[in-house]
Amino acid sequence: MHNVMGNKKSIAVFVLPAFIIYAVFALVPIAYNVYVSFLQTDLMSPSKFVGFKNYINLFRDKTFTGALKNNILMVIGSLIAHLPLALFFGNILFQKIKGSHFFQTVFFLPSVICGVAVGLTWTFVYNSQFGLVNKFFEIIGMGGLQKTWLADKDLALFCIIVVVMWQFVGYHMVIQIAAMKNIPSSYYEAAEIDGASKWVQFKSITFPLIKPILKVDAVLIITGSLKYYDLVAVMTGGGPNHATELMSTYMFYQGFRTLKYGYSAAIGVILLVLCMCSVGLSNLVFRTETIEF
Amino acid sequence: MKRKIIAIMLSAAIGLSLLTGCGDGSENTGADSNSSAADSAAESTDADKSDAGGGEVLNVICVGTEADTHVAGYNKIAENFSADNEYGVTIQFDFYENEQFKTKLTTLMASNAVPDIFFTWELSYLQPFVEGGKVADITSYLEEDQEWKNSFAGGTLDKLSYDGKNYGIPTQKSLCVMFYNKQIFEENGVSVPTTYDEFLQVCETLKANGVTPMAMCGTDAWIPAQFVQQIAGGMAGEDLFNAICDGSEKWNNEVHVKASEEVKKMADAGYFQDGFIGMGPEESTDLFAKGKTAMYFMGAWDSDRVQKDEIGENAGAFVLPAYDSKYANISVGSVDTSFALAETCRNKDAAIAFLKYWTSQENADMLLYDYGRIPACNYEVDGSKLTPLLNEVVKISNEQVGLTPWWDRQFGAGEGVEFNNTCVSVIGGEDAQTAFDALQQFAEDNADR
Amino acid sequence: MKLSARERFIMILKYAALLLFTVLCLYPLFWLLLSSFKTNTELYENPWGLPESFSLGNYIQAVNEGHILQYFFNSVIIAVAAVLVSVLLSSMVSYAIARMEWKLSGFMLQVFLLGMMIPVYAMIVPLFSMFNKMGLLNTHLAVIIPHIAIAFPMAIFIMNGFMGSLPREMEEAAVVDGCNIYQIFFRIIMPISKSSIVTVAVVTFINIWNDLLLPQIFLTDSAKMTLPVGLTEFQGQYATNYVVEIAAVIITIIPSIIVYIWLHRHIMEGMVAGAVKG
Repeated sequence: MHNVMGNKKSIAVFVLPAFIIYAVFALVPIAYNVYVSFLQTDLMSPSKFVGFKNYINLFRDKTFTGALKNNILMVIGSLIAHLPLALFFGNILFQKIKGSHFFQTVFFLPSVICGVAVGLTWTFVYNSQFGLVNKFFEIIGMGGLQKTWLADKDLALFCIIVVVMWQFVGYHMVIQIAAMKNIPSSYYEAAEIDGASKWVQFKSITFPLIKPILKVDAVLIITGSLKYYDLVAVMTGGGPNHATELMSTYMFYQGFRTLKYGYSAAIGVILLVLCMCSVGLSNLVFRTETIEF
Repeated sequence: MKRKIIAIMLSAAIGLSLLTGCGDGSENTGADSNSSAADSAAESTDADKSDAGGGEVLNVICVGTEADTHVAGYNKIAENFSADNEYGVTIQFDFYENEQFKTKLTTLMASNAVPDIFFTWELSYLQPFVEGGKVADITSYLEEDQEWKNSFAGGTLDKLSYDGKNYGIPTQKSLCVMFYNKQIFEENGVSVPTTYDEFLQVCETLKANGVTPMAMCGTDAWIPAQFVQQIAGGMAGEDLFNAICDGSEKWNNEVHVKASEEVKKMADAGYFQDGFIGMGPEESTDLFAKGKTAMYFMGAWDSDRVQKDEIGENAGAFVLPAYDSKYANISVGSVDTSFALAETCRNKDAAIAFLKYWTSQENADMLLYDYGRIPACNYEVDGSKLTPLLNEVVKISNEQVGLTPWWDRQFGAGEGVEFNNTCVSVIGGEDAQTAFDALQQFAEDNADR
Repeated sequence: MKLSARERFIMILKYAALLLFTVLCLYPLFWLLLSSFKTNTELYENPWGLPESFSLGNYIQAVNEGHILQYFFNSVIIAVAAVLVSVLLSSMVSYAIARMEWKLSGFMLQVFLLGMMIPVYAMIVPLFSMFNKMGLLNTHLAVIIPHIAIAFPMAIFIMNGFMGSLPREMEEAAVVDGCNIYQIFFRIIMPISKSSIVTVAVVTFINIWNDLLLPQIFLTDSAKMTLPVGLTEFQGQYATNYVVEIAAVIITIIPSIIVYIWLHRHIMEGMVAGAVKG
């Protein structure tokens, strides 16, 4: 048996193709990206090593700090929508309610649609002339609330966050339901006999037991929110006046429009660091909480 | 086993591609890049066009969309040239939408796969590509043909010269005008304003009569920004422009602040259509072209598009009267639709011949009379062949004493684009002084990014 | 089981919330579908109602002038190629890590799983420069290769979990019968792992099908663009002809929805697998 399963040559045949692709097109680029972030380069003329200057400039760049702030707002908005709201629906649908599968399927649907199509759909919904939102206000006689949604620098980001909520509530809900399904039903049967209400059951059985998954889910939400690109690229392109700029869109702009590839690479590094931090941070937060319990 | 073989072949293929990748990387500086660019370009044209007729193909990329009437004119020039030229080359045109074109050209530049001839904006747009050694120096071609060189209006070639060398050929001239609807003006008893106050009065009268005075687009920042720039030009003239270019004046000077506040005031007074801030360029053009607003401030390149729409013969044009009359007839304008040759161009002689053909009187006339494109060359214009609107536009063009290029062409993607964003932001309600202070700060920071 | 009045009231509230959200999920899409049959004038004047006629004019225009089919075809090439290669290679690695006996298997797993945290933005500029030097820019390979690499972590994560749980007896029997490792893998393991392979394939496919960034940067010829990039181009070219743009959006969405209805169990399972099993 070991002769077959431990054969070095066959292990190499199984592992190397994938590993080489992965190393060359994922690991090497990341290392290379860190290097590029120390350069001032347009990838055409000779590049110049500038040390940490790109990073220093980034944090003095109002557009970048604005983008960072927008990303954080995006994270907060997503956390609000995707934890409590998803948990609310998830808890209802978990309770063997009629049509549970149908609702899950429907709620999940938006998350499989391509971001560009979702973005365009909502651009139409928000359109100030024929969009559903303005027409809705018109019908209920509150025409005063009509706005040019995506062109208003105070509202545009909020409008996009709503779309993010819409698109991914079902996705996170299904994750949470899957976690709930792993809880042995005997717990609930016992609680039922003790006469515990549904709310008590949720509070003292479901929630504590799915907490580890919520932790993972929170990481997914945070890293996911740091990675949004399509929606903003399509709906506002980062405008008006960078009001909806995200790190990802700003990175695209700096690299592939203004040819500041070093600067752009530095944004990429910061995104990477933030993703890693969010994983570490949520580990930390959720661990201390478990100890308290 | 078949699958095993596939797996091995796959890994071999990957290994191979890696090896060739490294090889390419080390040689990519010299002549090799030339041929690889040529190969890839040839490949794509083979796929696109099998009827090239055996001759050499020159690829041209250009900005243009389905909505642009002049694209037909450009194609006509290319066809005529392809049909009969001493080099036996065929011109293959590809049109891309504005934003997509910018991404595309940047990518092509970095990857040494620039088409033989490419559309470009002047000044700082082309500059990095010139500095990167991607653009062919065409000084000698102009020197050899003085007649051609001298046919260009004074100063137009300079906009595409860097370090005293020529890198691009402008084919058109453009400037911003205020289009107006003669019928609406007549119905409301207003006439073309000659002072800035009269202009505001016209807006006020129209507004009071329930007519939307101007169509404006708020989603594309350069459109409100060119209006701000025009008003600023009328407040302080070309001197301000030059002072900012040479760094002796700052972006947050009081003229910019005041000019942007003027536009903000117009927005607040309802001189632009409702919801303009969220309206795209095509929609706002449509409003004017379909006779729903009285005026529309835009580059003269829209003349043909407008006069071929519902408004037709009712379209007219005037220069926005200067805020301060001593700076009259200073407009936002520059050269337009310029072309440059890639350093890797496969047949520079033929490419130059094509551009000469494009800028010849014959084609300049065709583009002017049929498509309303004002030529960059000083050719006699036969007013009788022009539509009334174009007659006015050409007249305005000749009357201008100074043209200041759009800021985003002068300064490119940095300060230029941020100037546009700043203007939009002021119109959107941000305090003008704060906004322009931020722009100045940006300009200082951006210098060494 | 009879419900008390209070329970019934709560039940009604729950259904009301569920139905409300169902409407929120589906109505925008339904509205879009209706709008795609309208004329531009109808869209402005009658945004709520039914179109006057269900003519396919907008669709025909989107297909003929907008090259939607061309984009569709490109999307298919890229997604299918990347899915085939990434599924084959990642199932091989997963098998080697889960079942084969070698010292570095645990470390290898960690290296691959690390990739789940990596945002693609941290590799874009170098990839651009690498593909540039390799002459791969503006070829479908430039999009396919990074997609394969990006797909590995999640795919290996899911399949490693599945393959690790298979009973050892089958392989032992196969070895006794004289099968070599490749026969074991392709004839025994692959067929039993079918469900997890389908899951991985579907999720990878959706990710690639929906991606905008990579094709936007690495492809320049409009003849090579994928659907999402094509859609953004529509935005510029048909700025006022909204109904044609809407028809194009519908054409893009429909395949996703059909695949979703067909394979939704796999899709839901696959897309949440990463979180739940972690």
